[in-house]
Amino acid sequence: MFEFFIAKRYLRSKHKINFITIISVLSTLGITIGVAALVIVLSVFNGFGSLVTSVLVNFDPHVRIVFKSPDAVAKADSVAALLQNYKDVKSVTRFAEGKVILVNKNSYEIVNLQGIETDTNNSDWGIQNYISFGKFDLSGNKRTGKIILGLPLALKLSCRIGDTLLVTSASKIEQSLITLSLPKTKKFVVSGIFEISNRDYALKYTYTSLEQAQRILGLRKNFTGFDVRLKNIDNSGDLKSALVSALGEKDFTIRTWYDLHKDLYDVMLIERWAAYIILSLIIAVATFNILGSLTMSVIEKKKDIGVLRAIGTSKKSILKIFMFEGILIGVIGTVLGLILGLLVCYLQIEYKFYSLDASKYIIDALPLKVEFTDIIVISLMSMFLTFLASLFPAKRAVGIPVNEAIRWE
Amino acid sequence: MILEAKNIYKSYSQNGGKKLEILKGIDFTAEEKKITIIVGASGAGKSTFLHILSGLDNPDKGEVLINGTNIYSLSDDEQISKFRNKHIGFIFQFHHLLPEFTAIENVALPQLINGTDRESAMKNAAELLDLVGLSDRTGHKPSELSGGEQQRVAVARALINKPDIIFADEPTGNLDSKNSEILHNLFVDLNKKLGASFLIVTHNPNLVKLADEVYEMVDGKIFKKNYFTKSK
Repeated sequence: MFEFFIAKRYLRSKHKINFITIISVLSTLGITIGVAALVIVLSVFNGFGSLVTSVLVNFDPHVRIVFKSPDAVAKADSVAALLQNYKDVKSVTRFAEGKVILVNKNSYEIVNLQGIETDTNNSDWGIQNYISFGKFDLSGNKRTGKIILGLPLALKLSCRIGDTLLVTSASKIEQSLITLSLPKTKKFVVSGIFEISNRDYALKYTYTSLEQAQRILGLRKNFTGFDVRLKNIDNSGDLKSALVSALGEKDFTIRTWYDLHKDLYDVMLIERWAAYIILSLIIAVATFNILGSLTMSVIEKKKDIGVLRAIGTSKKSILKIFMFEGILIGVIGTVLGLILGLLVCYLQIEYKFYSLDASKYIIDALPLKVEFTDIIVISLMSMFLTFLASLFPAKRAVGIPVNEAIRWE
Repeated sequence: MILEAKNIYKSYSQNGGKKLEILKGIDFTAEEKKITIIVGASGAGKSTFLHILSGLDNPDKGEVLINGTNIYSLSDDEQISKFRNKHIGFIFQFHHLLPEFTAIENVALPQLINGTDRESAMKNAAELLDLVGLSDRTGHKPSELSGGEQQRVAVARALINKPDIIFADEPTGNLDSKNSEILHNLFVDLNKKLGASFLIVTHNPNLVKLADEVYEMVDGKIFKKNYFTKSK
């Protein structure tokens, strides 16, 4: 295509106005830096994001259904049937949850007690994979239960494996104040201590068997809700919609893993978008430079445009020539930026140049995850901005009347 | 008749709203395979007339037919450009070669524009440069050529698509007498060998002597002159 041939030559040539070359190089550099920065920063966001998500998702169910009212509790069986019928379900477990007070000698803490089922085969998630001391043993009898708690909590309570804690249900305390009866207190033996990277969870959650929890929380045969794990986590939203339309939201609270930490996930998403927009400004500014240098190039080439038109170049072709000149700068800048960005990402992933204190950050180096869709979006956006910036000066070139251009000497 | 102009009017509006009439209803024809020349005082409107005849400027009124086609009836820019590319050759006073391209690339350009493949275009360009005596300068950029050589490249470029007619606006105006003579002889040569039709605007009396037909433009109107022609 002759337009491309002319555009390439124009880009390479030494301009009468040296400034044009300088600005073109600066434009290319600006786009390179902008694209590289975007690739690196988005990959870091992806890295941290997937790290946080995986830490939480290894613990959370994919979908959690909580009974809000006695009516809901009555429907428990039909809900269970519904869940079993859903195609992608891997496991459905019942749980009972409530606030309790743990007392060890003179220390006490108010925590969440989760009663979970241990006879189902769902060992791919939850607490049993994180036991550091003792073992995952929640068996108990009528008099003494077993409890598993997190390391930070154990340190706070100064307890070890084998110690006995006194557990009292918080709601029972409230009741006892009203009915003037003693709240039920039960002895639980610490059978295991777990360590997880989420310190919040480690301080707040303790675990026992479903039956023990039902007993101490006064639930009898009832329980708090269902935890569902799916074969593919991406179907969580789908399952939630199905459940909402089948059960409604009056009696049930139905949440996905995303909902369970919505604020955190939402903030992460907003941060990502903010970074994307701000860094795109770098590219936008660089493309303004293209607009500048190309406009100057058109002015410089006024005579040439006249000659080209005189020998039969159409207006459309003139437009193409100058658009190509601008777009070439964009393509070169984008490709160089992608190479630079991906190189830095590769080096960080391979050689962990930017290391982190593992005790503070759970990982030993800045996490990076390069997503192919990010690369596509960044490239398209850069090319689009370049295209826009080239359009204005190219249209100017077309607008030059031929006879005027030829007389210009 | 290779070129026919009917009732051409052209005026420019000046500051203060007054209209300056340049061409006042001109009828004109040029014959095929002939060297036709227009002379006239500076500012008489010769260049304007030439631009209108070659489709580079629009008349206020009137028609221009080149080889039977009314160039101002062509509907869109694509069509006009295509016509200009294939049927019209133009030689400017100031060479107007593209400075970033070599001599051979400049000559090949009109063919590259109409989609001819690069190899054929370059081959044709080489042949024409040989015809104008510049086969040892094909790879030079215009800045590396003398004024006379640049003008010869421009002539070669005007010829490459074998146009119906070649317009030239003061082609030797910028050249010394020696180079002017080379160029004049080249026109005659091409006219004889290729049957090329020329319409030339010039001041140069030596070129006028070589013409088949001579016209003079006076005050926006054109008159045929019977002396200074070869046929005398």
